[in-house]
Amino acid sequence: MSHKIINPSTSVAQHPAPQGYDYTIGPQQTLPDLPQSMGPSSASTFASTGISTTGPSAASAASSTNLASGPSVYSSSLHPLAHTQQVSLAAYAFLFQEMVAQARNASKSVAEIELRLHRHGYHLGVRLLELLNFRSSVNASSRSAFFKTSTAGPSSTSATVSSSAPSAQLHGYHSHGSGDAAGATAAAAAAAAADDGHALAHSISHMKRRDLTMVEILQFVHSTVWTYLFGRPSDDLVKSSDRDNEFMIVDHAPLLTRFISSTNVQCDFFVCGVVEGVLDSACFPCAVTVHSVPDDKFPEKAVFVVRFESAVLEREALRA
Amino acid sequence: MAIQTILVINKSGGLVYQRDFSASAPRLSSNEYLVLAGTLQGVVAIASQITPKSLQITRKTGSKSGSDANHSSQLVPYVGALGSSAVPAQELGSFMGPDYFNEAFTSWNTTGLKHVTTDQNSLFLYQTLTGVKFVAVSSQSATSTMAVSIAENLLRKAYCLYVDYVMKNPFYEPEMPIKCELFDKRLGELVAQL
Amino acid sequence: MAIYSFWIFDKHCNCIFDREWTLKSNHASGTINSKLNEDTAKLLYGMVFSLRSISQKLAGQGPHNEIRTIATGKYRAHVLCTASGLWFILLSDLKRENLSEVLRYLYGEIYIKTVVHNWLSPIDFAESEAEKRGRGTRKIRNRNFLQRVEEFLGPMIN
Repeated sequence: MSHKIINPSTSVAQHPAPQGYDYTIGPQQTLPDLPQSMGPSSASTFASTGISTTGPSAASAASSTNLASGPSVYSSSLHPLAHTQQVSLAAYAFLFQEMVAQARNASKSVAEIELRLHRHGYHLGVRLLELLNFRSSVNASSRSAFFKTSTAGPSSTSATVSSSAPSAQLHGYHSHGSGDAAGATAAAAAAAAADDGHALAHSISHMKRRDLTMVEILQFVHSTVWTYLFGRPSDDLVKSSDRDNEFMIVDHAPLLTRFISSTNVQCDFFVCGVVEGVLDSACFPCAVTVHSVPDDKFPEKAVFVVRFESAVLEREALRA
Repeated sequence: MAIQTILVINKSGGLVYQRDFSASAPRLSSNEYLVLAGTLQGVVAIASQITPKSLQITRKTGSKSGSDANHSSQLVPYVGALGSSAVPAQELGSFMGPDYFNEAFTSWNTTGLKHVTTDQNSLFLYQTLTGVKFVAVSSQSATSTMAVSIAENLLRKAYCLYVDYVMKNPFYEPEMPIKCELFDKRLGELVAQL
Repeated sequence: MAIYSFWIFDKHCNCIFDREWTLKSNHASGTINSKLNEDTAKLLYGMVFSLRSISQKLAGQGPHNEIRTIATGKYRAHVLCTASGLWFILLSDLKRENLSEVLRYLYGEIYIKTVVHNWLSPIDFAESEAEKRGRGTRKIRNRNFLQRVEEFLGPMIN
């Protein structure tokens, strides 16, 4: 077919990325796809340093400079194999559309649709707290040190991988893996990746302190969680003047519902679920709702209202 | 060029969207618009049936040069940002700035109806690969190729909006009338730029 | 090739003249009043009829809103509708944007002078009720008319 199909993603390379969040690209992908990383024991970390001494250093140097140029720890994946950090906004939108459609088909009322979306988001939020807290513990120095030692990054050639594979077997560190894996390069890459996970965990010297106050955890949601999900911090974080337990996170243009004409169903309840999941698993039990507050400048403005339970307030009063 | 009306016709000839943009727009009942959409659907098919014999002959025996000439005539040039100011980048939905697209495109409507002029109006038709038709009625009787390519660019942008704000809306049932506020709004902005 | 074919329809929806050129190198190529073109003529009539009804609806209460041109990806049809219900249709390539002058000449100078002014030629080509409503088969066979059409359009076909 000689017809050219409209494909906005193809023109990405021609344009330099503008400042801020890039709408064509959507949120940056940060999910590392760790392949069977639970295998090797702690002894393998020594083997991984062994690889770095035997393996060629040119490729690894190039990959480390690439990765070091990133803006912050949050915005890129820690996994060296996740070399594409961008997800098409269209794919994201279609996925969300399908989720809403499914919730809609399974529900009888508007409230039920919102509840289902909320529940989907909740599970995401619970996992997100773990992941992001772990990531924020990785400071820049330990990260760069870690990437210098990794060899089988995405930019290394197949020659270097195949040359490092026998050396790894010499060190005898992954006797469990290479036997059944037929493709030598794939096995080597996976094994190296598995090593990296451990190497990284070991390179963390200080874990991030747990967020203990309401303001701290909300700051975490406002900046870290929002940046991870939508590529930018939320537009505002406000404390209610009426009630002590009420806080508001303001988003001028919610990304998920960009393409959804406002109906009586609030699709942003998914994000409510995420926020609630994060706060709940951080031991800040609360209820989160969303209200669409259109104004002249931002017709799609949404306000996420967080209401903490009274136990949280009492605890905070005791600490103070 | 003042756009009076934009219609969207689905692949089976049903009218799914109709909107007037100027006070001078023809006042037709919704039933008349439905008939109009069905008629246009038929005419598009008929128009390709009566392609002159000499064209069919040259295409069959056609040497390579002939087919090339045919191909280039189907290429619609890109007409820069229509109107005064381009849309801010964040308004472009899933499209990359500075505009929805920035190169010439091939018309998918090779043999069907494209453009009709009458004493008072002209009617432009853009067909997508999936058979959705975007129709614009303008209040000027313009025959120039420039006007046609401007209209094709406009309708293609309307198609881009359709893809974003209609197809990505979970509350839209395919092939049904379009009731999407955001699509209305963006289309209004697009036409207002002209 | 600039002009592909020329058609005249009368008020009874009958095609009373058709001329189609098939080779651009040869002015004499193609068919005149061919039986094989009957189906094409019906389709062409149907297309113009449908679009005319659309354009009249779009005009609303205003003055008449007659079709001028119809363009597809491959060709352009130029239409002239006369007050007496005759349609003159020329099919050309897309480079010809407006042939209304040519159509006016074909009507005013050729049709009027060789058919209407000709006492021996019928004005209404449907002689009985059975030949109305698109079922007529009579064509313009007037030698003068044919000759002048060839002389006028022949140079334009390429």
